[in-house]
Amino acid sequence: MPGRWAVAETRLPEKGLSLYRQIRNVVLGGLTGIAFFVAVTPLLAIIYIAYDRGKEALSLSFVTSMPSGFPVGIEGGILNGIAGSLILIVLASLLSVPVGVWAGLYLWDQSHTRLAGITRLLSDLLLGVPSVIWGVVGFYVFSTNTGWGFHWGFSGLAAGLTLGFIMIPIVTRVTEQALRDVPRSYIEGALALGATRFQVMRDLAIPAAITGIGTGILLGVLNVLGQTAPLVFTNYYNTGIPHSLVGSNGSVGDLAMQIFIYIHEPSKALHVKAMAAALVLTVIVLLLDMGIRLLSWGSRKYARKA
Amino acid sequence: MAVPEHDQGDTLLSHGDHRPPAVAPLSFLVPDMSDAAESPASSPSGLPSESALKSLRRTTHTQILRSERIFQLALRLGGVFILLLFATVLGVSVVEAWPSIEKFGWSFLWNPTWNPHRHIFGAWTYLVGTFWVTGIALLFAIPIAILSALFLSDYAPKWLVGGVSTLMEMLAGIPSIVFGAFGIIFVVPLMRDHVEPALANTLGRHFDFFSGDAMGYGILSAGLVVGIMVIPLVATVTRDSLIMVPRETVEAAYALGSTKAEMVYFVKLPAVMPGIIGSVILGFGRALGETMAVLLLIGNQASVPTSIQDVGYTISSLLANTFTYAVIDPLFSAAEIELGLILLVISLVVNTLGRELLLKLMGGRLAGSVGGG
Repeated sequence: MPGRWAVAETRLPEKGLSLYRQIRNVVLGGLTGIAFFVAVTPLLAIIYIAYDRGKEALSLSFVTSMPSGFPVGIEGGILNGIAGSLILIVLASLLSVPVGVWAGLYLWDQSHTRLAGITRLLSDLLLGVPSVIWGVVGFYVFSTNTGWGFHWGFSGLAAGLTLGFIMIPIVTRVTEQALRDVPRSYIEGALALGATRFQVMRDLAIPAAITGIGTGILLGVLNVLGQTAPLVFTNYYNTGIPHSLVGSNGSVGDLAMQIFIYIHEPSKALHVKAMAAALVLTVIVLLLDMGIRLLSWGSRKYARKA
Repeated sequence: MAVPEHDQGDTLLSHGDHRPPAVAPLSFLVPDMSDAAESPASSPSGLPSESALKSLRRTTHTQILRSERIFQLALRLGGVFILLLFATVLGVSVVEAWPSIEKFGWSFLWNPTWNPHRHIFGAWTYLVGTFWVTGIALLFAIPIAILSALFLSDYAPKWLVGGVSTLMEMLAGIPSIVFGAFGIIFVVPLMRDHVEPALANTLGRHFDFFSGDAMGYGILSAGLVVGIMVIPLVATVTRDSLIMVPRETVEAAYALGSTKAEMVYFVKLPAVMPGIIGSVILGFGRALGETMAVLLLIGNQASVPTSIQDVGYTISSLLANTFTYAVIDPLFSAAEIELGLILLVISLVVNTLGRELLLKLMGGRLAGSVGGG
C-alpha cells in the first residue's frame, strides 16, 4: 500500500531536513495536541464541577421528591422538573414526529422538484433560527391572550408545541437522510418489478430506514431537552405538577428552567441544588446521545452486511 | 432483469433485521400491475386471453395512476407544513415588530437610546453587545477548533481517534443552561479573582481596552463560555471536511518531499478552506443566538462596552430577560421583536452562506444544530 508507506515515512526522524523545517513540523503537531486538550478540558470540567459542587444534594430522593422549603427548592428534589421535561418532550414529539417524518418522506420522494428544493432550504434555515425567536413565535401563536393565536396562556401545551416546532426541521432532515441511505438498487428493483411508489415507500423504504428515522427523533429530543429560552416565553416554571396543560395553571416544571431559576437566586444552597440538577440533565443528555450512537452504529453495521 | 425473482427476494431478506419488506415487494407481483410510467406493455404468458388482459390492465392502470397521484399530492402536504412553519416564524416576527419598524425606520439600527418610558427605542447598544460576545467567542474558539480538528483528522494516534471524536461530538450536546450555571459557579469567580486583575495590571496599564473593575460578569466571561460551547461544533464540521481530502492529494504532497506540517498547512488546509469557512459561519450563527449562558454571565446592563471587562447586553438575553414585561406596552414589545427580527435575519443569511459552502464540499450531509438554548 503506497499510502501506508507515505505515512510511515513521515514518522521516521527526518535526517535531511533543515532545523527550521524540523522544528516547524514538530510545532504544528504539538499545537494541535495542545489545542485539542484546551478544547476538551473545559467540557469535561463542566461535568466534574457539576458533580463536585452538587454532590451534597445528590441522592436517590433528589430525583424522586418534589421541591419544598423556603425559598422553594431548598429542600426536596427535582421531580417536578423531570416530570415536566418528560411531558414537554412527549408533546413536542406528538407534533414533530408526524410532521417531520411526513416532510422527510416528501423531500425524499420528490427530491428533484422545485418545491422540494425550496422546502429543503427552508427546513435547513429553520435549523438555524435562534431559540429566542422560537420563544417569541411560540408566545404569539400559543400563549398570548390578545390578537390571533390559541390563547393558552403560559402552559405546558404551548411550550411543548413550541419545542415541537424546533424539532420539526431536525426530524425532517434526518428522516430524508435515512431514506436516502436506502440503497438505490432496492428501490429501482422494486419499481422495475411493478411496485407503485406508495408500495415502495410503505414496504421497502420506511422499514429499511426506520432505525435512521428513530435516530432522528431521538436527536430532536436531545436538541430540545436542554432548551430554556423558548420556555421563558411560553411556559416559565411550576414547582408542582399541574392538573391541566392549558390555561393559567397549566405551566409545567422543567429541568433546564429549574437550573436557571435556582442559579439565579442568591442562595448557596440553591446553587448546590442547581449544580446537582445540571449534572442530572447532563447525564440524561449524554446517555441519550450514547443511545443514538449505538442505534445508528448498529444500523450501519446491518447496512454494510446487506 | 436477468436476475430471477427469488434472488431479488434473497437480497432483500439479507438486509439486516428488516424482514417484512423482503416478502412484501413480492406479494404484489401479479403480472398485470405493471407501473404505467415504467414499463408500458409486457405480455406475460399464462393468462386467459389477450383482450381480457388488456381491459383489466387498462382499469388497473387508471386506478394506480389515480392513487399514485393522490399519494404524491398528500406527500406534498408535508412540504407545505415546512413552508407554513417558516412563514409563521417570519410572519409573526414582521407583523409583531411592525409598529416599531414603522415608527423608527432605519434609524432604529444605529440609535443608542433605549428608553421604554419615553418610547424611544434603538438597537445600537444591543447590536454592539451581541457582536462583542460573538467576536470574543469566535476569536477564542476558531484557532482552537481548527487545530483540534487537525488533531482529530491527522495527528491523533489511530486507536485514540474514534474515542476522542465521539467524546467531542457528545460534549457538543451539553445544554446551554448547564454552561451558564458552570459559568456562574466557576468562570465568574475565576475571572473576578485572577484573570481580570491580572489583565488590568499588565495590558490594562497601557491600554484602556483591557482595564476594568474586575467584576467577573461581563462580555469577556460570556464570550469565553460561548466560545467553549462553539468549539465542538466548529471542530467536528471542520474535521468532517478535512477527512474528505483525497488520499492522492496528500500523497502527492509527501512525494514532493514535504513534511507532515507542510502537507497540512500548504495542501490540506487550502483544499478544505470552503469547509472551514462554512463551519466558522455555522459557529458564528450558533454564538449569535446563544441566550441562556449569555444572560447569566454578561451582567445585563444596557451600555456600550468600551473595555473587554465591561458588562453589556445582547439581543437574545434582552429578549429572554424583559420580554414578559414588554408585552404590556405595544411599542415596547414591537421594538424588542424588531431586535429579534434583526437577529433572525442575520442568522438566516449566515446559515444560508454556511449551508452553500458546506453543501458543495460534503454533498448533502450538513451538520446542523439549533442555535441558542
